[in-house]
Amino acid sequence: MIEEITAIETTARARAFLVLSAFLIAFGVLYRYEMIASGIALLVFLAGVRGYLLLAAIALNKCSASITSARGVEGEKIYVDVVIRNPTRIPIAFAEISIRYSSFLKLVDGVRAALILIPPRGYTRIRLGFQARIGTHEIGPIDVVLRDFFAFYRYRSSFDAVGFVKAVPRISETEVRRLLVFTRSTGLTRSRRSGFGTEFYSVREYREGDDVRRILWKYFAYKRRFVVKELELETMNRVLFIVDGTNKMVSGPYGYTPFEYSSRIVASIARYLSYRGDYMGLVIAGDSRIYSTAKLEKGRKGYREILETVASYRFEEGSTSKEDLDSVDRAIMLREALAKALQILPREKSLVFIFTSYGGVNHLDTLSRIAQKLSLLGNEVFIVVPITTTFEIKGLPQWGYAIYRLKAFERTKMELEFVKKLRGRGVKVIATGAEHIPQYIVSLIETVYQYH
Amino acid sequence: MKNEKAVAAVTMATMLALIAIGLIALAEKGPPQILVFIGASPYNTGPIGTFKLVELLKSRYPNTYTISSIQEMENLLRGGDRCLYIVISPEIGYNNSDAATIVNSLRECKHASVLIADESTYSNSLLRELGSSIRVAGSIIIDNVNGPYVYTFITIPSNSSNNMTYYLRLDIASKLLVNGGQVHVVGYAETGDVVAAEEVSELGIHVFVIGDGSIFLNQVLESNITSYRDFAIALIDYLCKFDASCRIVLDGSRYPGATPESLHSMVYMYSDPITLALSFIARLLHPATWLPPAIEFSNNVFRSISSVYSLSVIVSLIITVAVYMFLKRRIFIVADQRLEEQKEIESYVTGDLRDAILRGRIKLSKQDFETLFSIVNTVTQTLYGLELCDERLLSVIPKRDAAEKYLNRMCKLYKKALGRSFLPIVLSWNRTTAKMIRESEEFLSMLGQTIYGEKGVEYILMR
Repeated sequence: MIEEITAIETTARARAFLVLSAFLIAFGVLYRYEMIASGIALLVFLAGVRGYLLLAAIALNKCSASITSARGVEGEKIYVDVVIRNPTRIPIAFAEISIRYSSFLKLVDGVRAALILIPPRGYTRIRLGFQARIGTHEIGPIDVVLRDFFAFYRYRSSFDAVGFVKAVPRISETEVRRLLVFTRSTGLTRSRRSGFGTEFYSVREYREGDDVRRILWKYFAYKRRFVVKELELETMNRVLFIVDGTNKMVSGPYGYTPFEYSSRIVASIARYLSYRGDYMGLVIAGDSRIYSTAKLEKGRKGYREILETVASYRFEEGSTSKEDLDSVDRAIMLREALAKALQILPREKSLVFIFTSYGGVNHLDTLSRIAQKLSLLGNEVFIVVPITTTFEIKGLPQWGYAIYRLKAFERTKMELEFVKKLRGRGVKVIATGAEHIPQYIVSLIETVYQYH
Repeated sequence: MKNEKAVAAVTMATMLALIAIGLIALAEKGPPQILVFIGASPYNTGPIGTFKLVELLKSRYPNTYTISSIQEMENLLRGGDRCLYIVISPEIGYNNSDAATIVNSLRECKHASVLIADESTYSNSLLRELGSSIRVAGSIIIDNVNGPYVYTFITIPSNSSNNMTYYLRLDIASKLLVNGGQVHVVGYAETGDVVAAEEVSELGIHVFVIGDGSIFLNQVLESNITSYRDFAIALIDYLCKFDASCRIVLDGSRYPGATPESLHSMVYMYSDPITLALSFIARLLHPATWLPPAIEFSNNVFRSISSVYSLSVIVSLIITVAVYMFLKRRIFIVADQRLEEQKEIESYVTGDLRDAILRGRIKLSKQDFETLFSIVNTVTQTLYGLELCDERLLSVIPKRDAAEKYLNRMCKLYKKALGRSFLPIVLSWNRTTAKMIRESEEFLSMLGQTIYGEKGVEYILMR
């Protein structure tokens, strides 16, 4: 439905036209009567033009618009159709439209503004192609300006139609397999103790009470001795991800912001965890709201829930400057994320990953307090800090990399100093760059903290 | 909440058109006819009017009315308990119709009275219609001593025995004819002529007649002699029987009107100066006075303009500018710009630096060289545990010969940057740093590191 904003507006052209008519009439009255007719003819013409616009405006008020919603994987080209239907018999010519959409989204195909004609009893369709980006992005409303043939008058209005582009993180199957292989060879999910699990640990002599299904019958056939296969006890099969989604995390090139990078890492690890059937959950602290899975879920359901939560995230410009390192809003949202995490975390020991970026002293305090609180409840907490400059270097020409590194080196050092300070407070922290793959992060956790 | 907007029910243009039509209509109708009532009219505020009597009566009897035509009397007295009709020195006679209307109106009242103070014979036809036997003779009473200003004794009867007798001087009075009937003579002139009489007529109307109206004039009532005023009050009280609800009608229809101009200097006898001044201003303001000359003047101006081409153009331009100013003030003009397109945001913490690099507006300084040195130094420290200027470094790195020159230069420039060396004396840090960046890349690539790639040396620091 269209919402009327203003009445028909007069442009400077119409004013000039009126002034010309006034001159002709005045001169006609004073000197040459024939010119009165010319002046009046111009006025009649102007009135006719306005009459047409009035009709077109009435028709526009009866038009309806719709915007389709689309879903995809980040990086893909997603198409959205904008359709404006004219049910009247009046053709609407010279309708200038401007389609609004999330400023964080990039249009790669189609036009965001156009001069269109809406035929009578017909419709006009505009197809827009967006490069999908993680999260939910609003398309619409549509601003419209109608003009007459000479743009003497204009009529401004707007269609309230809204559509959405929703995208989930892209996961490389290769990376997930590598992660799978890597974690089998390291100890991320290994206790190095025998027990219930899926991975082979060792063989030993059969003891009374052992499950007969675990007897190695081939060995018995060869050695005539009963031995059983021992499986490695898996210690960590509940993982919660907390991702800082405030505006400090959404700076950087399109698709390569720390938030998107973190979401990709989360999605990759979640995919791996889904193969293993582990429980997992996600909490995102946005600028104005918390996005979260309802609880820790396992397997494909858990993976789907995490993808859905990431896809529901909405980019916001935030109320504070990106330079404000100690934003109160950010601290509040992280505390709210902690509260949500405590709601969904089970009593059992869980592995908690917190993804957040560089900040000031207050941010440092907030993070260490969150990590401490979660650790006190028996959870294993890791804070992953993406180094901003490694993201923002993307998109520069090759010669620019070196200059950027020199000029932004102080900033890089400050961010790494932040990581050090956090470590100094006993928090397990790893600094990551845009080029680090999930496997590398897991290995960092393994090697730096010798997780057992 | 919606903004309240004032909506004009009648537009300014309509208002102006209506005003123009009104002015033309008034001008067509002609100037206002301002008339003054001559004689003892109750509307006459001059010395010989009876306006003061009206005021006096209104203060005692609120239901006191003045009429300018006999028709106004219809229904005025209907249902009244006590009514009084007064006519003083009429200058127009009563025809049968007028007299009948007055009588019929009086008969609608329960107790009707009539006071006639007349020295002429104009009121006799009314007396006849009233069924009274009293008549005004119309002949002036002349006293041998005072001439036409005769002294009279007029007694106002009372219910009690205290009848009040007033000794009054009349001005050109007429004697009354009282033939038969139930006439009660109440006033005599010193000459013996009857000047005041009363009777209840055949129709039951109480009629009181005085042969002179001058005793009720403004100049008499305003004079220092209070006996006339007292007489007037006593007489009205007698006729109204002290009933405050008494309806009194003063007939103002029996006097001709005249324009102030026709009266010349006599006008002050019939109207006061303020009324005259106001009537003069009203005449002056009337469109009939000024509109025709104004139109005539504008016609002349228009004719003189239209006869000259250049003047026509100038006036047309002035009118055009006036129209433009009017449009500018009255019609809201919008700037017809294209709709603002949706902007796409890519925000960066180091946005300014990125922009400067992309636009090629970057200058390298001594500090940048120090940073470069620090980066390469960090790499050698991390990989080999040795400072960049440590001589032992050459022994552990591959491609020693190629690196030696580079290391020497770096260390020399570093000393210069720190101020420990003067050499080289002339140096452009911008060019030198740019050159050393290229050489550092070659050196770092020998160590398996880079500052030219996306995954650069900072990844070493993250370990």
